[in-house]
Amino acid sequence: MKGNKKILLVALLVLLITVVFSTYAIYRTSQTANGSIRAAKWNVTIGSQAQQTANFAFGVGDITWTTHTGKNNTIAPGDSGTITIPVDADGSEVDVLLTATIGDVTGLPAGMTATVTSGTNGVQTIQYNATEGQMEANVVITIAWSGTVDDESGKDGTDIAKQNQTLSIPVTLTARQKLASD
Amino acid sequence: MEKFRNNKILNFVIEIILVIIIIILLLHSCNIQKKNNKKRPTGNVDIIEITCTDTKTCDVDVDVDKQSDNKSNFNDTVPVSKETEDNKQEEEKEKEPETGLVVVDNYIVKWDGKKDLKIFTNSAYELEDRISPESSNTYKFVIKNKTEYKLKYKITFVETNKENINMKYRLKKNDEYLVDSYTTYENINVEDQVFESGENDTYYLDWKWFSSSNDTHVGKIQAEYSLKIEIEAESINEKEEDI
Repeated sequence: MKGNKKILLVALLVLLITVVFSTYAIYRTSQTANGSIRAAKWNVTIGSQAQQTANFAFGVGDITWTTHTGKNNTIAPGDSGTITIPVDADGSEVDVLLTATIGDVTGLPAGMTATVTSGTNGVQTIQYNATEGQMEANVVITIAWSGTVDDESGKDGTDIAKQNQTLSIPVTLTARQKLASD
Repeated sequence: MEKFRNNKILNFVIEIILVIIIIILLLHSCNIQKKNNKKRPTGNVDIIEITCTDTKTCDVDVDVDKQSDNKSNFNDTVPVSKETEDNKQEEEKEKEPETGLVVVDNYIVKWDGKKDLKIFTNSAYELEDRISPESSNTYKFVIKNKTEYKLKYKITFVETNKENINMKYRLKKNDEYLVDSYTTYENINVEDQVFESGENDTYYLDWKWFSSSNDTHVGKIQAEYSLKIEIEAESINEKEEDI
């Protein structure tokens, strides 16, 4: 008798559990997926160093002369030449924007100019190119003293005043990724 | 004698109850089997048909992409190659009837947990598998309720971003932004979305890498970034007519 009651109790329990769980049965499912990416490579060397911004202070000795009449590491009217800063962006996977600015030049005679002649207004772009050697560029600063050696009008008291002064051309060159908004 | 008779009656009642319980359990078991069989849909199911010749580009018409979209880099035309046996098998798989909770995206990828999603594909620099500061695009995916139940679901986004790429998102469901300004991934999680059997919900995940101070470092080391999208759904217990 007691045994039967136990069996009945267990059977009722099983029935109860079955009914309850089937009543509240829930369809469950999930979907998971993953998207991966990596950042485009940035590999820019200004001069000889991997840097983003480089500050230079060029002197007469850094100029590659086109015309040079000044002797003993000096400059004279009619002289002209260039300073070249090599930029190597090979391996980079983005366009690179270079901006070169010339600061306050000391020892610059009147009639003499120092300007960034590469790019436009000191700004130039190195386009992305996967081919080795195709993402190299030079930033060029041109120094020119107007007039000629025998041009007396080009030499005045201002020039004389600049004698014995050391020429220093500060240049800041910045490289950054070119954006669509640039 | 009386006691013996009572016991006999009681035993008989218990036996009857046990038989009834067994019958109920058997019926319930049959019902479950019947339900399982129902999961295979018949008749109208979404099947992606791809018809093209070898090595040529062909148009793939997918019903989920019928909504117009002027987002950038959206492309329903994809090159399909049938050169390898693997590809053929994959295409066969895609032709299989869809059941359950199905998610597809605008690159005709049916989520299966194996394929890497093309969330961050963008056309910049002709590199589809790279991103750079200010890169942005929209990843569209469609959640289809191919079950026979009304479902409630949630979407959880989890990023892996060791180098702290400044990635931000916003999220649109169908025609309405759920999160309309760019924010970090944890703020675009979605909860308690409900759709009926046979319905689809289309999501547009806008992403953008906003420039930040560590971009150069990230680019130098070519940092990796990934986003996991998890969709969990469960039936809403209103439709248990069979029980």
